[in-house]
Amino acid sequence: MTHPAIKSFVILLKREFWEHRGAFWTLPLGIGAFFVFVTIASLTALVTVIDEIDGEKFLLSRAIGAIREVSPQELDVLWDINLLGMSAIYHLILLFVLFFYFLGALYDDRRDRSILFWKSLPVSDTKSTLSKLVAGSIMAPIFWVAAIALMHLAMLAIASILFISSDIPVYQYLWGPADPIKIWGIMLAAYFVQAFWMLPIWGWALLASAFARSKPFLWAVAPPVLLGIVYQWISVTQLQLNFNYWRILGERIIAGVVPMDFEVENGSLSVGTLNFDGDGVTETPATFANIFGRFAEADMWWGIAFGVVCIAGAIYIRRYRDDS
Amino acid sequence: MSAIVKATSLRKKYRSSVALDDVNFQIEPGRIVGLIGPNGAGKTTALKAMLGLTSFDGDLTILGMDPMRQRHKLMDQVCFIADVAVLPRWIKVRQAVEYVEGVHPRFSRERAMKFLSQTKIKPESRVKELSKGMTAQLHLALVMAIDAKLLVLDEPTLGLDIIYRKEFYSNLLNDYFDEERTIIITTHQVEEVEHILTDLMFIKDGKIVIDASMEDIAERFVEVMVSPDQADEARALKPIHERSIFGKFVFLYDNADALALAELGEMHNPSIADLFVATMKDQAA
Repeated sequence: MTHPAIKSFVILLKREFWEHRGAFWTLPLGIGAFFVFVTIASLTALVTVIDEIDGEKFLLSRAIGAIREVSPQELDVLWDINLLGMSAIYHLILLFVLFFYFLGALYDDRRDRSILFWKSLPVSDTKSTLSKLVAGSIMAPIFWVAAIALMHLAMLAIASILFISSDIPVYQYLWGPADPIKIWGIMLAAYFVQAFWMLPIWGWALLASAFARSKPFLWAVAPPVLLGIVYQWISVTQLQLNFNYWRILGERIIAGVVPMDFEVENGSLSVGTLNFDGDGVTETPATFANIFGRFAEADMWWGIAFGVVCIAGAIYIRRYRDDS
Repeated sequence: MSAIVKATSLRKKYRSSVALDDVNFQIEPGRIVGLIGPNGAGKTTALKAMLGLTSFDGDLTILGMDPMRQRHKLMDQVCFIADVAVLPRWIKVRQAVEYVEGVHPRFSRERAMKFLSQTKIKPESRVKELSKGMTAQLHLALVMAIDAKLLVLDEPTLGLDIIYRKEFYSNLLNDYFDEERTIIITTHQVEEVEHILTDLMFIKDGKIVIDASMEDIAERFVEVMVSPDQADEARALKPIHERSIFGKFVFLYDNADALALAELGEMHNPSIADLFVATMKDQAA
């Protein structure tokens, strides 16, 4: 923290947090609060509204008691799935949040002219652009995972209360088998790898953000769509192309490493990545080795190369183009 | 001492117009220079070139550095206020201070807080909650807390009411300026800066038409009030401008023979505003 270069990079990240506190922190906290609220409300509804099911008197404790029939091995996986399942929507929302964050990152301050203030200080355009990249692709996911962790803890607390009130041993069935820390670790690792996997998309959004004199969204979305139309036209009318443009694009967006999809295979938790082969989902066990194994794929490095070119372009435009 | 700013055949063309047309000038340390001209004359382009915000042809060095190639190093030594509206609206006063402290090695938080304590600005306010005048005070407080060699102000008081405008310049002069610093100001409101300037540069159609110290200006330019019957005599001495007031004529001369003028009527120094009007009007008018 003492080196001035590090100190100023930290303050640049802080700056992004100040400006985007809502998207980086309040929003994921709000989603968690909503989940907790809905859970409490539906539990209350269950207890107060439903009198009987199939002619038997409904008792919440009896419904919860079903957990006693789950085997210990299955219990581990059950909690993993629960914890991951509760967080799935966060990953999807964060994808959109980050896309719009990057679209605005080099555009909003030009629109309101505050760029003239930022540029009056001794911060290079390279450094400020990289700080925005790191803020969005690394720092924001850390905050989101922290918010997910708080939501998990709240949900586990609710579950503990239910277990205790239903006379289910809470350690044996909940705190023993549930391993939220492992889940958070997997998420953090996955987001770290995801930052690199998504680099071409984020870099492209930053380039559109730096380039657009208005409507950065259109500049970001229209060229890849137009390119797709050209691809369609060529592949339908002219010749057979040996690659699938839409698949490359689609896989890049949704086949990242954050657990978007998960299943139990052979009794252990797997993280699925969507692809467009065969049955559509490839399952790999959710281990750190598999997550970091993405760096061994050529696709990862083509993407990084494309992303680096886009970011270099964005920095160049921000530095040298005179917009006013 | 070496010049703070040195421009040699500085040129800048936009697609349809020439903003700077072979401009040469030099600014020495410890001066307060007014860069004055009508809209579109090239003032802002000249400032942007100095700040490395726009490309140009010709030679330009600021504190011995090339503003295009060494821009962010240059910003250690140079501050600028583009105009009152450029502070980000979402930032809190406290955050703005913390940010500048974090990125600027020559910023003194103590000084900034001292300036701010003399205003009504609260640390927890956001810029969007401040009035235009308070935003300008905040920006000035941030800038005055930076120990910079060159301060560039582009229309710093545009849209502020008179109290803030006066205070802005008096703060600048009393609490900031010294012989080590240099200030360049562009403004429309000539009357407000003329008492603090040491040098004047008039720019018109991309060219510098007057570049002189205030002492030289006082010596060179003279206004004479002449009664109508002597008007033709006065015109023979080649005034650069004439106007009439209360049935008398006022002629403005550049480097005219003082003795000859004294016989025509009462002589005095023109205000910068009068000089501005005279210089900027086309010869035909």
